[in-house]
Amino acid sequence: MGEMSNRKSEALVKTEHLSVRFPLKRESPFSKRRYVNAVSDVSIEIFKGEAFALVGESGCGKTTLADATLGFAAPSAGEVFFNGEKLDIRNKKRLKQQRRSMQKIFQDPASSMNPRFTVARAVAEPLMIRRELGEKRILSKTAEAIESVGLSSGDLDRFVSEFSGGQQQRIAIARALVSGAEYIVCDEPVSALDVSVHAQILNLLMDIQKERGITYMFISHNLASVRKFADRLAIMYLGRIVEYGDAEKVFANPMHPYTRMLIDSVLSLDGGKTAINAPPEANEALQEEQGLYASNDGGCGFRRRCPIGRSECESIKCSLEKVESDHYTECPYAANR
Amino acid sequence: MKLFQKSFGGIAGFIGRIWRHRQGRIGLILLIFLSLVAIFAPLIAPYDPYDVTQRADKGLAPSLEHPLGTSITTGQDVFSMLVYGTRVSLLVGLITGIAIALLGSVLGVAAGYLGGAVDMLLMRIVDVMIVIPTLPLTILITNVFGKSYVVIVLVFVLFGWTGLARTVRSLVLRLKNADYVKSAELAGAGRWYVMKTHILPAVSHLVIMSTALSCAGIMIAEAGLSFLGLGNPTAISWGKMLADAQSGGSMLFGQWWTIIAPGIGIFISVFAFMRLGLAIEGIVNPCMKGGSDAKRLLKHIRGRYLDEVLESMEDGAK
Ligand SMILES: Nc1ncnc2c1ncn2[C@@H]1O[C@H](COP(=O)(O)OP(=O)(O)O)[C@@H](O)[C@H]1O
Ligand SMILES: [Mg+2]
Repeated sequence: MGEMSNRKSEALVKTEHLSVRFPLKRESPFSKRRYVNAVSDVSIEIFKGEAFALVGESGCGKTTLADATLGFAAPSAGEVFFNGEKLDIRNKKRLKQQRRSMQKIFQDPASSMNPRFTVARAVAEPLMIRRELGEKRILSKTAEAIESVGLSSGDLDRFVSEFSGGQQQRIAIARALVSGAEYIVCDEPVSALDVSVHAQILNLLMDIQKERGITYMFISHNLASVRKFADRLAIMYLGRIVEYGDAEKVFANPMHPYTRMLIDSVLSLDGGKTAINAPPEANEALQEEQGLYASNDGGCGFRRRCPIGRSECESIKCSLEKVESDHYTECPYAANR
Repeated sequence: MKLFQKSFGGIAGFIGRIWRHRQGRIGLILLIFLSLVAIFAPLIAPYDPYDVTQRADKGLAPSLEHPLGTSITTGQDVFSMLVYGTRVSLLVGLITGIAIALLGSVLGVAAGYLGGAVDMLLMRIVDVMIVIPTLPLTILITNVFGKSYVVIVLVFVLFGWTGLARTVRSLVLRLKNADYVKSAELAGAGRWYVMKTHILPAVSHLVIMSTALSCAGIMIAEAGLSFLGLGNPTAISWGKMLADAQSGGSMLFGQWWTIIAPGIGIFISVFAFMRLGLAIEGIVNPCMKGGSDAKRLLKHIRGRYLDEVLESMEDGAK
């Protein structure tokens, strides 16, 4: 991927052959430990100031990948770099330093802020933890942040739990702004909210990014919703990145059959529900499949659902191959469909 | 900075919130009433039931002199016994409840937060404690160490901390991985900050709630043990009043008031603590519906003593 480093801006977040796995409960003390490979061999770069979208169905490992870039999930293989420096979970002191420029906006805003906190305390918490500013400065910064997300400073002394989901998500955004983070993971920030506020929150996030040049890792299970503002994106399936690169190029020329499925389902009348939001049973099957995927390292993970699958897919060793500049896919048969 | 400090606003603020809660206010009022009765028992009770010279004829029906009649076995004034009995019940309930709260929360936090070997060890101890049949062991212990309320309290604490420790542990585990803790860690929070700001306050609310409920459970259990004759035989308690009524054959002679009186005492105090516990839960977990921590705790408390005691009471009544 030499070409990407030629870009004007440099990578803020970078993973190299990153894998994260979780141990499954053992059926008996004597059986062999099995693992869920939540993230397998992922190498991506997120450049400064861009909105990077991570798209895939639920359970495919998006949150785990994002958490690994925040130092929450320990890699079982590979590495994470932040600002060119390795992110080492064991080096607590250094990690604390590095995390000062990171924040995360969670799917469920109600759980992302202590329900016992007032808005003021929730928003100001990052500053109060650091104890670098005086009370007056903290208060003025807090008020400024809460106003910049469209709430009023009169709301500061109410409890977080008194607000609606959309307002809570605004408060969470204000909190991320106050912390001065340059890298913000937005983990499905609207999927727990009422549909009527989706657009408002997304617009707010976009405006903030334009104003402050923040780098986003924006997670979504809906490809259509990222089309408007993703600069670059990665499509994830069962822990692997199956297509990756410049968003315009991926939308214009989708290569991987899974990406095409996502785009087609977006165009269909049900708004993409069929392919993307698999029912719970299907999800269990998915996890089972994931377990299988973990145990035999041969074959394409998508082959069972693939419309263009062939016998070679059983044993193929997938890796991202270049399609054009800043556009990669794992499927070698995609070009001659 | 007031804006940042206002969370639940200390103990005074917390009591204020309970007061503003409809159920909580009922509980608080009843509890204050019971405490006053216990403290001023000598002023309220018309007779001193501990004074042998103040005994009347046995088994008298209610009258102006003896509003609830006299005891069928000793001739003590039942109303005075009821008033004095508040002392034993309330003291045993409160002391045990608070001791359990301290022990259970410290061990629960230690297990949940430290994890590893500490957690393993404590949880294995809990596992063992839970399968020990408590009532036979209590009988055994009181036989060895003598029948006294000190022994009863110690036994209650010995067996009572496990449920709370487990609940606290799982709360701590949940909070340790909560989104808002992750978010604070991203902002640079250390272990001590997380503990102090996010974990301990939530734990303390859970513990206060469970203490209110466990006090209720303990008062019932205490009555049960006194009924079985395991309490201090010279002390006057509601359980012992029930036991006397039963052994004297109150039901046989139609003297229902000697049974109703201690029953009302037990009912009021259990009711008070339950209202309080449920109110605190409503305040602490405003978004929780039906199948809540309180209900689970209640089940647990009942599971320990009450079921066994109730069973043996039924057996005794047969
Ligand atoms: N802490 C964990 N322990 C065990 N398994 C986990 C854990 N976190 C995630 N997983 C598993 O890893 C897989 C990916 O999960 P996740 O990253 O949350 O997916 P997504 O965010 O795309 O929905 C799932 O199969 C999930 O069950
Ligand atoms: Mg997720």
